[in-house]
Amino acid sequence: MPRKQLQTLSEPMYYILLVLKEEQNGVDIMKRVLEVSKGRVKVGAGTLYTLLGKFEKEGLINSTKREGRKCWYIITNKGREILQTEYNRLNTMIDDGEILK
Amino acid sequence: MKKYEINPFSRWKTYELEAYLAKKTAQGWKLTDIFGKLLIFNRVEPSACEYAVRLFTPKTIRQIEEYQELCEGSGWKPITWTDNLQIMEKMNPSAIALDTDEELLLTEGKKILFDCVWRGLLATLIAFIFYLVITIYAGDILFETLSLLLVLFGVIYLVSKIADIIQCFVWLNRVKKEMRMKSEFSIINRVWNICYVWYRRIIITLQGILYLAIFVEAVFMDIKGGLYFVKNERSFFIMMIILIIIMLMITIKGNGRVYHARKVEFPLWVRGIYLLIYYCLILFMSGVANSPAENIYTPDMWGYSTTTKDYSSAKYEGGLIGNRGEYDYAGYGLMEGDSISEQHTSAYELKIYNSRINGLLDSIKRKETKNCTLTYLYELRGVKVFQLDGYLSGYEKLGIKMGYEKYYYLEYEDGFCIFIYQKYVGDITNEQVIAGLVDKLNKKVN
Repeated sequence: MPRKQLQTLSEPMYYILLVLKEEQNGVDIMKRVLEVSKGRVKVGAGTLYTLLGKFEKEGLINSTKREGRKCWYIITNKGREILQTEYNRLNTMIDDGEILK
Repeated sequence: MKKYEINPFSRWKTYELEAYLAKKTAQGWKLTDIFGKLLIFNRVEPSACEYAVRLFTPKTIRQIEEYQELCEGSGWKPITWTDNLQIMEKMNPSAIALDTDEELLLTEGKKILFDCVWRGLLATLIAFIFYLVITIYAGDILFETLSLLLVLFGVIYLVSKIADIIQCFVWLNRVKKEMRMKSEFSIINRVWNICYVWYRRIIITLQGILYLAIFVEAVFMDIKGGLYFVKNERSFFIMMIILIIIMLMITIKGNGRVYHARKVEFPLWVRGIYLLIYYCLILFMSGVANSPAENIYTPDMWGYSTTTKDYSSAKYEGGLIGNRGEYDYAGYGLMEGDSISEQHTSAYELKIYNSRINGLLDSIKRKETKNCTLTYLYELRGVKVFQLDGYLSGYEKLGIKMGYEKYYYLEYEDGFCIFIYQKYVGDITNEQVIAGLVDKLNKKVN
């Protein structure tokens, strides 16, 4: 079943918002996601570009400055809320998964 | 050394285009640019190269630049851009794939599909409906005067649009089911691709030729018709303006504001003017091609002036059959089982009518009319009976029936004549019916 837009976050969405706690430009976001996820999550340029546009439109991130072709972004309060909600949801899922032990 | 090829792939054939470009590079031809429907290659040393073709519909130069920065940062070098696609070459073997979220890709694909259907097909359908309406408006309810070129163009255009949408669904399905690799090795798919490549080449060439032919034909027709369309079709122009506004609203915010390949961004008003000219041209072409000016150049047939012949000053005076509210029926109120009533006509009017119609008959007899034939049937009580097939209705306002009809033309010995709608008198071979009518007419006129 398709995920309702931004109600739950996909892995790339989650990690992009996560790394945007600090101001980053697009290329740095890709590198930082790879770093934070220890090489597990790769975000392609196409995916990142689409998601940044979507996040900015929804007010989850703000563009802060622009130098040449580079654009810097940072998470907004709304973005933080969404990220926190997702974090809590994932934690709840992990807790619920305890019955497997 | 340069080589130009028609792009054989629609925007949805991204995987096929990627494979095609890689194949061409292996043969020593590297893509350098895309201009309209043309792929431009440069001669290079044959090499193995990986390409990425991605659907991309930015609205501003800023978006393009930002995306280029991201691509270059992840190991892809942008080669060229079209209104819908971006083409990149892999520079780094460890480059991250451009699309790492297939669900997102699918969502974006659906969005572009919707855009394609909404803006492309809907605009086409509106233009098509408009085309049919003006054809009826021009008096051809049976669409017998449709320009063959325009119909052919329309059919090809519609088929290519539908094919485009089918391709889009196929593309979505392939993204969804991750069928990319599988399909590349399928023999059926390879055969299909070859057929598709040639279908695209032929269709694009045909469209170009037809477009030009229609334009030339339309302009020629209107000039021949004394610029009738431009001068006289006020109500048509109002319709056209309304349609242009609708089409502008549909398309102005669509793709195409940025000419990617040249990195030119047009302000909205420039895009608006461009579309305005574009639609005016298309609608003008279809309008002219269907205006009565195309069908006939003897004015009396419709009561307007489209010729330099004797009747160029003829106006729409209601002298013809069934063309005005006050003369609703053939022969001034002549209907089956009806007599010619004072309410509808008088002997005097019939005589005026006669004089006006003589000009028309002359032109028919001289075979100057394109869509009329006059056939002598027989003589009955001193009246010659002809059958007339053709467009005798005036170029009337919407809501009044008109079109291709059969008429009977009765010519008296003294030159008096009259037309009768076949539908009101039945079959002309029914001599009793026609004899009765002739009697009534004779009484009335005498």
